[in-house]
Amino acid sequence: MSLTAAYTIARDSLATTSAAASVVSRNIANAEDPNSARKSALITTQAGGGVHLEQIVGAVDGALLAFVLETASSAAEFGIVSAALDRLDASIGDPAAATSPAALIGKLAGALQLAVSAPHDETAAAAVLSAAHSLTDALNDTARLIVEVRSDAETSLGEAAVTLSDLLQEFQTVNAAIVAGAGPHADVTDAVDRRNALVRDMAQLIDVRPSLRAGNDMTLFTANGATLFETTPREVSFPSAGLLGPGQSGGVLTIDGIPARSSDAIGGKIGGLLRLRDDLAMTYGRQADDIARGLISATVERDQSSVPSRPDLAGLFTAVGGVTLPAAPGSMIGLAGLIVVNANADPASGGALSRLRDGGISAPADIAYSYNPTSAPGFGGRLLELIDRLSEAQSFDPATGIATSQKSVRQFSADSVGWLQRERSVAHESHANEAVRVERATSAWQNRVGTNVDDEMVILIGLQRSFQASSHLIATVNSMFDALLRATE
Amino acid sequence: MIIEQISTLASRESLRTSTARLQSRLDQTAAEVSSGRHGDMGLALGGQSAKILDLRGLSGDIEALVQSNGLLASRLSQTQSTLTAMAELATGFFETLVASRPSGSDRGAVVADARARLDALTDLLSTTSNGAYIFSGRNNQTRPIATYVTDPPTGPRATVHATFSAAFGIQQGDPQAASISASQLQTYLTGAFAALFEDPAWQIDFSSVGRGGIDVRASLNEVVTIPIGADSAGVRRFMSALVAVSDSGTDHLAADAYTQLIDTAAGLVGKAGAELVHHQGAVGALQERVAAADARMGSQRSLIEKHIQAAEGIDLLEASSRLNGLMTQLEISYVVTSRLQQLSILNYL
Repeated sequence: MSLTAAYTIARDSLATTSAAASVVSRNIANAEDPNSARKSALITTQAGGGVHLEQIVGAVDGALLAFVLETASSAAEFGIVSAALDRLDASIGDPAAATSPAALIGKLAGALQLAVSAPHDETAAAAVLSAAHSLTDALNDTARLIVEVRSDAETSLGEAAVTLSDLLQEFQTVNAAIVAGAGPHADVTDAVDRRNALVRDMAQLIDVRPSLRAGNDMTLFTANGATLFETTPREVSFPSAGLLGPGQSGGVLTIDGIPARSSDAIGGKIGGLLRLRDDLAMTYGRQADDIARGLISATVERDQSSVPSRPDLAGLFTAVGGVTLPAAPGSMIGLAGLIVVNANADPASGGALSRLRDGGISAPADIAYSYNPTSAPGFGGRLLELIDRLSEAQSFDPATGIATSQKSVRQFSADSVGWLQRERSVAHESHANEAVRVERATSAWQNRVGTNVDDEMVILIGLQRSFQASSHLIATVNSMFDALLRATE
Repeated sequence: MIIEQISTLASRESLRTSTARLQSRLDQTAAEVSSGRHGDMGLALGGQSAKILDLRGLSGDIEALVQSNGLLASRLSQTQSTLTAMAELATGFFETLVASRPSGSDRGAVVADARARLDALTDLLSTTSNGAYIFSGRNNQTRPIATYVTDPPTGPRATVHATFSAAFGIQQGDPQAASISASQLQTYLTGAFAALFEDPAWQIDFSSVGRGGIDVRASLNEVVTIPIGADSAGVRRFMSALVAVSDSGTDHLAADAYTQLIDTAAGLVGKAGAELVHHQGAVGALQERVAAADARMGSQRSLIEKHIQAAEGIDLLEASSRLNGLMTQLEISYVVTSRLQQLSILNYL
C-alpha cells in the first residue's frame, strides 16, 4: 500500500459520493411524481480497496403494482357507470317531485278520476289531456336521454380505443429501451418509471394484467385473455357506429382480433362504457319502450258493437307513424321516443276533447268504436274504464330485467324506477368502495417504492460526511506528500 | 427491527383525500339535516324506490278520490235537499186536494196551486251542481223536464191537451167537459193519460234525461251508481198528479167526475210521496257510503304518508349527532395536517 493508493481511493470515494448524491437529488426532485420509484446507488468495493458505483436500482413491488392496477381499473369502471346512471336518473328525479313516467301515470289516473265525476266538463278533460301530454313528453325525454347516453358511450369508447393504442405505441418504445438496457451498468430506472406510468394509465381504460419475462420484458393481457402487448402492441380496433338509435347495437371493440363484450368484465373505462352501452342503458331503453307499449295497449279502443268484429284501435296514446295492434311485449323498439297523445283528442291539433269521454279517437267517423253513441255529456263510463285499464295487469318483455309476472303499466313503470335506482346505488356503493381500495393500494405501493424526503436528507448528510472525510483525507495525504517532499529536499 | 417506510407523497395524499372525504360527507349530512330527507333519494332507497313510488301513487289516487268525492258529496246533498223540497211540495199538494174534495168548490185555486207546484217541480228538477243538471242523468247539459206550464201550450202540455181532445172530442176549457162521467174520466186517467208518463211517451214528450246509470268511483275499489234522476217513479207520479189536476178540463167537470179526479190525483201524490221518501233514503245511504269511504281513505292516506316519511326521511337525532362528529373530525384533521406540514427535517439541518 502506498500513499498514492490512499489518494486514489479517496478520489474514487469523492466521485462515488458525488454520484450517490446525484441519485439522492434525483429522488428528492421526483418525490412528487406518483410513478417515480425510489432509486438507490449500489456501491461496491473494488479490488485494491476503492469504491465504485456499480448500478442504480429502482425500488420495485410487482405484487402491489398489480393490486394498484386492478383496483384502479375497477374504480374507473364503476366511476363511468355510476356517472352515466346519474344522468339517466334525470328521467326520474326525486319521488316527491313527480317527474318520472311512473308518477305521471298516477297523475293521469288522478285527472281521469276527476273527469269521471264531471264528464261534461271541458276543463277536466283538458286536465286529462295535459296529464297525458306530460306523460308522453317524459317518455320522449327518457328515450332521447338514453340515445344520448348510449351515443356518448360510443364516442367515449372510440376515444378510449385511440388512447389505448397510443399508450401501447409508447409502451413499445419504453419497453424496448428497458429490454435493451437490461444487465449491469445501465440505468433504466427512469424508463421503468415511465413504463409503470403507462401501465397505470392503461389500467384506467381497461383491466390490464402485466407479466414480466426475462430481461425485464413486460407483456400485457386483458381480463378476457386477449393480448394487448407482447414485444409489439396488438391492434385495438373500434369501428364506431356513430349515433346509436334505440336498440341499435354499437361498434364492436376488438383487441388483437378478440371482440370485447359487456359480459367479459374487461374492466376500466372501456369495460364500464361497454356495460353501459350494451347492457344498462339498453335495458333501461327496453323498459321505457315497454312502458310506452303498455300505455298504448291499456288505452286501446275496442269495437263496441254487440258482436265485435273490428280490430282494436289506438286510443288516447298512439305513436308517430301509427302502431300495429295488438302490440306484443318487447316488440316495439324505440316506441318511448315515438309515443304521442292522439291528435284526434287534442283540440290544439284539430281534435276534440269530447272524444276522451266518448271514445272513437282513432276513428271518429266509425260509430262502432263509440262508447257513447248518443254523445251524452254525463257519460263517464269510458273514463272510468281507462282508470281501471291503467291498473290492469298485462304482460311485459322479460328482456327488461324486471320480474316478468303480469303487472299493470303503473306497477311496471314503478318497477323500472326501482330497477334503475338499484343499479345506481350498487354502482355508487361499488365506486365508493373501489375508490377507497385504489387509495389504499396506491398508498401501499408508493410507501414501498416511493421516496421519503426526510430519509433522503439523512442519506445526504451521510454522503456529505463521507465527502468531507474523503476531502480531508486528500488534504491529509497531500500534506503528507508535502512533508515527504520537504524532507527529501 | 423493521420499520415500514413512508412515502412523503403518499402520506400527504392520504391526509388530503381523508380531509376531502370528510368535507363531502359533512356537506351531504348538513344538507340532509336541513331538509330532513335523504340527499339523493334514489341512492338511499335503491330498489325500494319502486315501493315508494307505488305508495306515492296510491296516495295521489286517494287524493284525487277525496277531491272527486267532494264533488260527489255536494251533488248528493243537493239531490237530498231537492228531494226534501219535492216531498214537501207533494205533501202540500196532497193537503190542498184533501181540503178541496168535500166542497168541490174553489177549483180555480186548486188548478192554480197545481200549476204553481208544476213550475216549482220543474225548477227543482233543474238544480245544477258543478255545471251539470243533477236530475238529467247522462244528458246533464239539458234540463231534465222542460217548463210545463206554457201559454199557449207547447211541448208536453200540447201533447197532454191533444191526448185529452182525442179521448173526449173536446178542447181543454170547453164547458162540455161537464158531460164527462166519472168512469170515463177514470178510464182516461189510467189509460191514455197515464201512458204519457210511461216510456216511450214520457221520454218523447217530457224527459230529456240521459238513460244509463252514472257510475262514479267513490274509493279505490268501489264504484257507486248515482240512483235518482227525473225519470224516477216518484217524480213521474207526482208530475202526473199535478198535470192531471191542471189539465183535465178541471174547471168544467161534473162534481162526481171532479171528485174522481181529486181522488185519483191524491192517490198518485200519496204514492209519489212515499216513493220520494224512498229515493231520499237511497240518496242518504249513498251519502253515508261516500262519507265512510272518505273517512277510510283519510286514515289510509295518513298511514301511507307515514310510511313514505319513514322511508324518505332521516333520523334527525342520529344525523345531527353524525354532523357534530364529522365537524370535530374535520377540525382534528385540519390540526393534524397543519402540524405535520410544519414537521420537516429541513428545520433541523
